[in-house]
Amino acid sequence: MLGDYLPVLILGGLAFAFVVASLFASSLLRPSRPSPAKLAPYECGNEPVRLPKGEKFSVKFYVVAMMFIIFDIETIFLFPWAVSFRKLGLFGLVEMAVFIALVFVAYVYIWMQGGLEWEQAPRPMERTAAEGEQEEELLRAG
Amino acid sequence: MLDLIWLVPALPLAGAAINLFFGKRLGKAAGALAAAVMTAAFVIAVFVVAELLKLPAEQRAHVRHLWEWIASGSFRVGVDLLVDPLSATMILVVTGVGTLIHIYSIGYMDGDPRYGRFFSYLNLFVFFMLMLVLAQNYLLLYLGWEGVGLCSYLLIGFWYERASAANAAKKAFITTRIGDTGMMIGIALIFVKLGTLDFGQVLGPGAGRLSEGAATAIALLLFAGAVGKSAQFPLHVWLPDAMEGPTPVSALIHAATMVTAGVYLVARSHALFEASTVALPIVLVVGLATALYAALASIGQFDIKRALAYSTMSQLGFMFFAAGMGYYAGAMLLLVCHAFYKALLFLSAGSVMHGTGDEADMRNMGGLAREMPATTAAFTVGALALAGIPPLAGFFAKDHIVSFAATSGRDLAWVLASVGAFLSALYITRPVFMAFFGTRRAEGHAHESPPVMTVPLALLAVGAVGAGVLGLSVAGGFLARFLEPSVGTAAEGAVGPSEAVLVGISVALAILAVAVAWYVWGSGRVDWLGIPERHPGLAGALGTAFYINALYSWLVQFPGKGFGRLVARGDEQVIDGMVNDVGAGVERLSRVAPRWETGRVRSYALSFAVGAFAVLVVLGLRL
Amino acid sequence: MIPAPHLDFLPLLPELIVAGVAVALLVGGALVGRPSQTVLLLLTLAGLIAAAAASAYLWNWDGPGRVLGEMIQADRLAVVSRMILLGVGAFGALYGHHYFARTGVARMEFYPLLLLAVSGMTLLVASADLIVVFLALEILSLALYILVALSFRMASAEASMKYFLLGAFSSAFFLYGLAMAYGAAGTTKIDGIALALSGRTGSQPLALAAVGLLLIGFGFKVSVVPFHMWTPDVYQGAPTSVTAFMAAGTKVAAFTALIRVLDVSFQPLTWDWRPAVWALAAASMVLGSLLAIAQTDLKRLLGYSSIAHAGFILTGLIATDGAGIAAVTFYLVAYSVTVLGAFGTVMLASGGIRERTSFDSFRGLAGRSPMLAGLLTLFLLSLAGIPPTVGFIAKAGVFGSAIRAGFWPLALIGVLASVVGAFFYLRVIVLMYMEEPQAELEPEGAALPGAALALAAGLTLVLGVFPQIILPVLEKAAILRW
Repeated sequence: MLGDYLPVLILGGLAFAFVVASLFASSLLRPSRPSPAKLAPYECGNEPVRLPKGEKFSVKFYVVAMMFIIFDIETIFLFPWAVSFRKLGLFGLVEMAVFIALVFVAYVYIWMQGGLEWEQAPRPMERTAAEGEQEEELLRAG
Repeated sequence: MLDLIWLVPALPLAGAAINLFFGKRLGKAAGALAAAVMTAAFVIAVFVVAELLKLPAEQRAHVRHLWEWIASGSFRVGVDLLVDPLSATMILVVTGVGTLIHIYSIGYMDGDPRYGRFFSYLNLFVFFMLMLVLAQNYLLLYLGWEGVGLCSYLLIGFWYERASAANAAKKAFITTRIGDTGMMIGIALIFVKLGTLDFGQVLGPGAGRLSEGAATAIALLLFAGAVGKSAQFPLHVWLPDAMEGPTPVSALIHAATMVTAGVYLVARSHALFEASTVALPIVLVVGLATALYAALASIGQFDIKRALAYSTMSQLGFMFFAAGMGYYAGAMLLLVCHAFYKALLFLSAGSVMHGTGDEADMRNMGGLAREMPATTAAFTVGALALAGIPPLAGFFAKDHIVSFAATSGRDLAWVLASVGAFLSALYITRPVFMAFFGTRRAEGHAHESPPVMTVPLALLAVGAVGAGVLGLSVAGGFLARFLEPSVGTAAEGAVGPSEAVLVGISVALAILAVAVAWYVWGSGRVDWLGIPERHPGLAGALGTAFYINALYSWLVQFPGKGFGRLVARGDEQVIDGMVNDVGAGVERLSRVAPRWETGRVRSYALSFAVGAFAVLVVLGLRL
Repeated sequence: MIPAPHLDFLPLLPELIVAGVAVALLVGGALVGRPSQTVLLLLTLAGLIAAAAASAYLWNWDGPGRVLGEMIQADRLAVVSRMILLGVGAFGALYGHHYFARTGVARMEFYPLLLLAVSGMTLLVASADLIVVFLALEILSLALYILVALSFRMASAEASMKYFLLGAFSSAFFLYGLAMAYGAAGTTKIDGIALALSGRTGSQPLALAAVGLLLIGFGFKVSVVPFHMWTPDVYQGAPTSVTAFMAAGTKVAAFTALIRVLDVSFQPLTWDWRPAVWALAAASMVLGSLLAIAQTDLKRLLGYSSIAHAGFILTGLIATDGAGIAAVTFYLVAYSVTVLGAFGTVMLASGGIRERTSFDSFRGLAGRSPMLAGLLTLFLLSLAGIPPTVGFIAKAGVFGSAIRAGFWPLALIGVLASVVGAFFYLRVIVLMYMEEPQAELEPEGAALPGAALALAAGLTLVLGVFPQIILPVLEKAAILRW
């Protein structure tokens, strides 16, 4: 039975061999005349001023991205359901309602937690000043 | 009422627990509490026995099943308490004498820094002793047996700051252990042969099913335990040393109760002993030999407690002698009477020590009668009871046994027993004259003990005087008839001289012995203090109990120590060496291994992948 | 028109209740803004108790053995394991309430996440299909990743990250195994695979690959060597209350599912997977015990101890009969009770959120808090398997199963590992009783976790002396019908 997969294996081997062979051939054939401009990371000519070290993406981007994915997946589920809506009948309708309700719960949660506030710092929860200080102390200790 | 029997051991156990945990906080109340639980246990025991007496004789065996202790396949052992005439007699002695000794201890142990601890141990001892005599199977009996051994160890070594006390405790524990091991093997053998340890089955139909050889082996192995516990020759060496313990302990454990457990065991297991033809004769010989040997040794002692300890051995020898003749009721009668007068003697000796500032050497006493009249009276009553002067308790008890030897046709045994009786009377009147009469041989003032000590003495004296009524020989005596369902009646032949002649001889011997004692130690005509110089061989032999300790040291201790050193070296270098090497190896491994634990996820993932590959290879091998 | 399938939700009721309460708490908590921790705790406990009641009702379930499209198993093993897991969840909630609420860094999300993890665990033990197994594994894992990160210490975040990355790695193995199983048997139903394999319609090499890959996936979850590397880091980094919950819960859930996979699905291949399980068990027992010796942090030590215990449980799994399953479930009960108690004591003794869990903090604990020291001693003795604690009975049970099945060398390795284990447990006890205190740390006394600890201690002793209280129930649950 495993023998059925032999062509697949051979194909994979051939693909790998082709990649190696072509890279090797091009390194032999191509001329090598390096210049500073060619060696620069970006060929637009601008030297990067500094590495993007201290500057991270704001966590807000991720929150929005996750929101997008949730609704994206919801849509992906909705499409096939809509296509076979008549066949699935009432059962399908109830199931989809449950699904949408759960997604809505997640949406409400993010909303209430401030995930949609762009200007204000997102607040994972409300904290008193004392708690904040204790947290700081723990962060330093940890 | 009979079902309340569990309360009798439970009360001392509760007392022990309370005193163990709260003894310090209770202070003086600890002794009162211990005595109170003992009194309560005694009262319940009296009611239980009264209830038992109401039943017809053949129904006087009540088993109280408390719970299943061990249930493993066919091996079933319950915590079952047996109330029958034999155990009833024992619990009355244990709780009765025990109560008096507890009360006495309140005065004797006054001011001891470990006052509560002492009473905790004492209560615990009583609990184990009661379990021993109430047990309905051999395993429970063994539990009590080992328990009293433990308490004996703890109490002998109660003043463990004294090296001699600590050593004596170890000696007692280890010596009795030799016998106990035999007993344990015997119990195991019973289970192997009969598949049960229940008295009802082992001693009823079971004993008859045993082959001669098996019965002999079991009986002798059990007897080995009895020999150790009851300090019979040759495992007797621990008892004189055990006198290092507080005197109430000597009275309760090493005179009245624990040491008699061996006699109880033989009486209880008589069916097993009778199933063998040689077991009882061996019991007889060991008992008689110890009775004579210990009596001689007692004469050589100057320490009042050691003299009494050898006396106890001798008396126990008489009990085994009686049991060996099949005369269990006689053995039990002596056990009961002995409990009274020996406790009385010990407590009087304790009172003397209490009054003279812990003086135990009789050479430094003399003439104490003036300053300690109550104690003197108590000791004298006890001594006369032991000597067999009628109508005190010892007369009936000992006379029955000696006479039985004659009437059952054991003439040689009768002669030797009579010699033993004579020696007994001699050795016990000796301390009376040495300590209480004559002139004071030491400086210092002696004082009488407080009532809390003298009142128990008086009560015990009443017992020592009156316990003989149990053996009043109307159709075998009350105790003998009472015990009949448990131990049967002894086959008394009517050979030899008549009863009256025998009684006459025994009384004459006792009086003669008292007279001799008076002449040597009381009249002042013999310079007995000088005997050791004049007859060093005799005094040395008697004083050291015929050099048995030295012999054991030479035979056992020195080769034993050498062997021990050899084993220790082997243990240290081979066994420990191996273990240490393994341990060190493990530790080295454990230090190397954490190098894989880098804390880096990528190395974790790598090891994960390698492990996954390995698992798949192992499974691939099955293809 | 596709006919609506007949849906019997009753056997899923415990999960529905737990997940429902979780969702309700999540939304409710978000709407209220600053909900009372105590109210959240009470609602959580109420949900767990309701689920337990529903689960107990299922003990006498006489409907079909599998419901919801043969995805959910309605047998007694599921009932018993659920009860254990719901109990573990209740312990976790009580600990968490103390850990987060008393120290002021309250996390409303703790309770919904805990409930979601519990629902994943209970779903795992009731799965009748490998797809559901995977789903449940993911539900519980995702919730646990966040729970581990729930305190503010860097170690907590680091632990969560490690757990997440390696968890994703292991999920891939599991999924691949699932695919292989489908390839081998043409179905992902747990019993369907067995039927296909015993009927020789399945492919042997694919089936072997499947059982291997699934073992790897499960092995990660229950921290079996060599998939154990995350365990000490995560156990140490996670908030102690979460560690207690995950240590007990994950083991119970994953091992119960593993029982189903090995003893049902791959039962026809028993003789093929036994060597692999043998090797994993031996490696876990030996390495877990050895590595624990060098530890100087109590939580890490318990992490390594958990690896060794995973090995002991695998030892019991070698025997595939009912008694073996009963022994394993008893071990799971014993381990849960003990490890919940141990981590609970550590939580109270290490200053809660301050997490002073190095050995230094435990030196001379007996002097400062004899109660906590006594409790910890009891739990450590149980972990070491010393009578009269439940750990002893449990170990005797699994070693007995292994010997019955003819694997006495494995049992021997187990006994030797236990001896090594006794050393490091006893060392902690020595530390607490015989050394002078170094850290001036006031151990906390608290009523709720105190009561939970008392319960754990009571169970440790009572089940150690009278295991027959629950053994008949476990034996009835150990009958797998398929």
